[in-house]
Amino acid sequence: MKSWIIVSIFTLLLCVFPVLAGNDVPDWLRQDAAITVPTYEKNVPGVVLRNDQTVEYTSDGKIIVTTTYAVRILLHEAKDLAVATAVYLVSSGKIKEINAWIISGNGVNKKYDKDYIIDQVTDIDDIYNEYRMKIIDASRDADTGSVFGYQVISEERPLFTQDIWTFQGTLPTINSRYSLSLPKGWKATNTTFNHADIQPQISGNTYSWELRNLSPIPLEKASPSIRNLAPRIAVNYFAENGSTPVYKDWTAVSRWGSSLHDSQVIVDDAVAAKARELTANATTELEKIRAVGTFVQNLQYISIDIGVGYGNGYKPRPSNLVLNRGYGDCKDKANLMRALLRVLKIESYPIFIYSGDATYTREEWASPSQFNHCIIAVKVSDETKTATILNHPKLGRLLIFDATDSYTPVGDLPEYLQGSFALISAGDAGGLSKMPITPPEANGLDRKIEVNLLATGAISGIIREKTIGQASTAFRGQYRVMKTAEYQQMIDSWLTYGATSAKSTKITATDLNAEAKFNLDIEFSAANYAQLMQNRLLVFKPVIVGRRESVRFSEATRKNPILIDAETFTETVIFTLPQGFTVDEMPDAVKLETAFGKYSTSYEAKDGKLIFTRSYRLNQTTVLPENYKSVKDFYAKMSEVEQSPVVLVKK
Amino acid sequence: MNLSVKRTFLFIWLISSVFTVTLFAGDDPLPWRPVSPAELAMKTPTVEPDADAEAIFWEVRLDDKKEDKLTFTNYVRVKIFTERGRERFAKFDLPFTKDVKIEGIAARVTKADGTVLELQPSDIFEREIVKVDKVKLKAKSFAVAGIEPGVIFEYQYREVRKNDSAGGERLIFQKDIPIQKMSYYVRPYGGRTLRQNSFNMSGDVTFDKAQGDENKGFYVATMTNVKAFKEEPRMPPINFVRSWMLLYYESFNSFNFSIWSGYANAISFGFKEIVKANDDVKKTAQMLTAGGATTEDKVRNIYNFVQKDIKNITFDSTMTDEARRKVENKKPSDTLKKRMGDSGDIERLFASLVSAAGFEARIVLSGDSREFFFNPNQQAHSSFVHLCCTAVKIDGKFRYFNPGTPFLGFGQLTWYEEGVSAILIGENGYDLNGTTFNDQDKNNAKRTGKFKLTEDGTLEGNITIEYAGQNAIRRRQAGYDDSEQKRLDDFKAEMQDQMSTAEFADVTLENFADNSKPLIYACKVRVVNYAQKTGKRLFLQPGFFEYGNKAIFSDSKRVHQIFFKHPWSEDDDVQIELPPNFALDSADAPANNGDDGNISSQKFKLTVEKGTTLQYKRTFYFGNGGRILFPANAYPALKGLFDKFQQADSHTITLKQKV
Repeated sequence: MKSWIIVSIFTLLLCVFPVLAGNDVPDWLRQDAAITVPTYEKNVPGVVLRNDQTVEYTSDGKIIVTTTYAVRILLHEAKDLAVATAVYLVSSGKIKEINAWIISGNGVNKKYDKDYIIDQVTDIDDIYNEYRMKIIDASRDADTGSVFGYQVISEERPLFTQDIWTFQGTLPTINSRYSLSLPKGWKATNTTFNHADIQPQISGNTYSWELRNLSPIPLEKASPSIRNLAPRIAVNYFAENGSTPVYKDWTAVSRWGSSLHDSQVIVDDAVAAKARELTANATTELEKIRAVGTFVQNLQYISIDIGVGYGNGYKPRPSNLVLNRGYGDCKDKANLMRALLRVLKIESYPIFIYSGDATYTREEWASPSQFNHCIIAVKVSDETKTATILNHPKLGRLLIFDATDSYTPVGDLPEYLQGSFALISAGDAGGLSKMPITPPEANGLDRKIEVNLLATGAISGIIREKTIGQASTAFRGQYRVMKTAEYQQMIDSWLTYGATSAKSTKITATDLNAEAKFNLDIEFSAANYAQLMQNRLLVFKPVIVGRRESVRFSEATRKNPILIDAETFTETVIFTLPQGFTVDEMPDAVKLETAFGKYSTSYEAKDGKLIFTRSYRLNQTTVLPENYKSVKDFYAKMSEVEQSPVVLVKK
Repeated sequence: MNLSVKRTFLFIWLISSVFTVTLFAGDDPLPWRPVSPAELAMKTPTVEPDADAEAIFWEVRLDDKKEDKLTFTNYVRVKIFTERGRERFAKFDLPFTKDVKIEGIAARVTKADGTVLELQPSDIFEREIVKVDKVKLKAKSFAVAGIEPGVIFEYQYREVRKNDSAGGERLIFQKDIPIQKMSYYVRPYGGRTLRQNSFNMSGDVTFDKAQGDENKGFYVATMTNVKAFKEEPRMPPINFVRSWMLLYYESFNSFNFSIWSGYANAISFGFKEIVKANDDVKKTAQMLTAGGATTEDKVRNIYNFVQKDIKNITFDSTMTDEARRKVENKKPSDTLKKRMGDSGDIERLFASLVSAAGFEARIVLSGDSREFFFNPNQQAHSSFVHLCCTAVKIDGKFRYFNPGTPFLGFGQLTWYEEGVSAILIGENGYDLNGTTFNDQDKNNAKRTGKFKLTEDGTLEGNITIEYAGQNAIRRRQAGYDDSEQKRLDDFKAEMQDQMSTAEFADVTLENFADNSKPLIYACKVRVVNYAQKTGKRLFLQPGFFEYGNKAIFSDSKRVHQIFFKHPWSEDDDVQIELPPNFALDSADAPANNGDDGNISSQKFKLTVEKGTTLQYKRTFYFGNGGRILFPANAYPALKGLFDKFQQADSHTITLKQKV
């Protein structure tokens, strides 16, 4: 369904050629275009000359936001930087004005007026979504040396008297400023992230925060997200007389969350009957939670963003309605689960969390704006034991569960949520808590391979993989998303990467979802795996298949920290050697040990067999960029070791 | 809304209708047909065993009775078997533009226990997907309540297209899920005779008069047990393998466009005007050909002139759209006078100049191998051909030229226009012919490497790669709008993708702008642990350029034919200076490979010079004789052959530490 929309939008961009209205360029853009910028590395695509937002809070609770932006394009391929985008909410906001201009490298100016504006949905996949955006795309007129600028004036009614300003993206930025004008008797405070404290310049009732000459932030693999690298401020503004309060702590945010959610937990006959039906065969508390959790996870996910401007983005639909329609989004699912559990006399609370970056939410700023996802905390007794239980000082033992991720069962938690700060919304008893981190041994892959090697170099055997925790989630996801034929193709492709001409002869997948386990047995064969040399040496690599992770660090230097996820891997390969051959040479055993992980291999020739083992264990760690070499060397050494061959010689 | 935008929207809508999926006469949907107990009880698919969902029936009615509109009425019943099947039908977007109406939307889910959940009118949203000025693309969207594995899901809706006709409609019988019964009903416009042309349809599927009062005036074509269409790597164009039908009305005007001669004659009628030469054009033609020793030289001079001396604004990224639109050339002489034009203008000027120089020139309509293998013996339709190039008769034979595409050298065509059927149209009629096809020698990659191997297994040295023919065209096409740096970076990334641990430095590129010469990349390379070391041996793969290459075919099964875009060849010359403390223990060359039909060949020569330098030569080709399309049953043999190639390419030799 998506393809037609993409084609449409793309075609519109290509085909609409409005008449040029005028080529006046505002003075501010001319001035910006005259700025001399530092020399950057040759791969830096552009430099932001101005990144400016002026917010005026009016006494009737609206804000007028003026965004002014200018960028110089440094690379021919970076034409896409010449695009102005302004997002708005149909229910509570509007774009009053959007204008853009370009000063091209050869000095020709152009103004893009309303005829160039494209107004479109923000997410083509969401059918119930009020977010839209206005775009002016000047990329076809842009080239190296062009300066593109735009100004957007929008009006909205904010849900919270709070705001976030990020001073830059990945591009270097010459001048970045956020300015807030408040009515008399109002005040603003701020918290700074990813930078030393930034204090505002205050003039009357206008506060301005400014940074200049910010360096580019390169995109590097296994790096924190740009949100956790770019300087950012969170701003609270409030009436000093207390008439318009702002969240002073996380308990206040918890009370707000409960006020939206608790009334939506509606237990009617249908909800009660469903809860009883689901748990008819469950005997323990965990089994009941699991039965309900699995049901809710398997409901169709449909994102519903209607009435967001009025706070409905945070408010679930009534639980009985969601059960009746059979679909919902994350908050609907968590809320339905609460209703079903309530029938079973199990208390639970919604959790607001940020999905996508476990380090995004910061403790020091109490605000609902830090969240984009909703999961659930289920109050459990001592009889229930899983790796995802949190001991809350006021609420007791809480089992944390994501009712949306259908690949991660009760007892496990998606890795991108583990360790994240999240708001447990439980009225006065609620607040911010750190989500549990499952130990490395609860997240791993254990592989055993039995291989029969023939004198011709051909091999046949069986690979038995057992995964647990988040490692099983990846396997489960592949297995459920792919059709049988596609799954086999994927397995065959993986096999041939290590052994040319390898093919699977039988694949048996066992999804032990309730236990967060997934087992996979692959019977396979490959002709000419080992190379016969001079009719006396047989050479082969004991590593037949890859580790199923493909992180490689080839860059010489590093600017950002390196994020390493917790994981374990063990493998034992037993080769039955061909008659008449004996081991002539095999690689030395290797042992690597670092602060973030360890890796080892061993080789043993015994009774006509060669036993090869390898294992690694990584701890969830953030490695500073100055220690990059240790990470690079660790992965390079693993790669090197796994290329090492074994030599057999004819007796 | 201007005309081009209208056309665009119609095009979008035509495309989208392929992805969308409805019976009735009024504004409301027709009553639901009863779901049978057998359908409710169905536990497994009947057409394909691993299907996630299966359509029990899929009916589309095209009503072209009225002149001013064409109505599509869809009614589909699907059994959902898996979560994936549920996901596929969980939500719907039915797009429409100003000239299209979506009406009578209805959907329902029937659960295994017979409970029915109907789509409520309040569940249907009308969304404005995108708006530019007064042009809007909208969609009617809804999510399906209660859909889950085991249910029967049904939906119906009607699309009414203003001023459209059933003639030219492509009826897709093979969808993304298997279908027990796929039916198209068509009611033609009064007095016109509707014909169809079938492609890749199993069995004899034709339109017959539909039975029953409700089908009065309709014809129906039905295909049963239709398997889902699945794409495979290296398959022919989708229209060559998927089941579909083209509808057309018999022509009654002076040009019969249901036969190729109709098209050809229409173009031939205007040929003179297209290539019309004024005095300037004639003088230029005379000047350009004056210095040519041979006929080919003369045509080459004209080719080089229009390609190099006339600014091609289609490919000039420094020009704005406004600036491009201002260059409006009505005649070849306008292009010559302004010294600029778009690709089409340059093509016409070329045809005009060669004609003015006295050569026989033809406009060439050809197929496009990305879309379809054009067969002029089949039903004619404009979508099967496009304006490809200009044919010029040189020494009694037509040769093909496309100067309007700057990365194509003299006599070169892109892979999808090579070796395809073509209609050569001139002033006095037309001929059927085939465009030229370059063999593997023309599509060559010449790769040389000079390295030094150190005792720890590090390989260091310089490489040069010369790409000719399609290898070069592809790279020039991909990079014509890129900066020099990006082209170098892309090469580096391509190499890095193959050898992730290698470091590439000082990359250079020659001849990018000169399409008469091969593209030459050169760089320094360093690969740590290239050779694997054990206690006393080093294991070395001399085939550097194939190091780390993945298998071309990994699937064990195949449904569609196998298609390679063009033949190709590789000549590798690798020199490796060996570490002084190591001696060759085993330096046997890998075995030569090839097939009995001489479609392919892989040969090796491994020598050692002065005991210290390894010389590795490899020659390879595939597609000899233009054999690049293979039946599905040839897959095991083909896969086996490529496995052998890869095995030989990764051949390892042993060096032993000197005592």
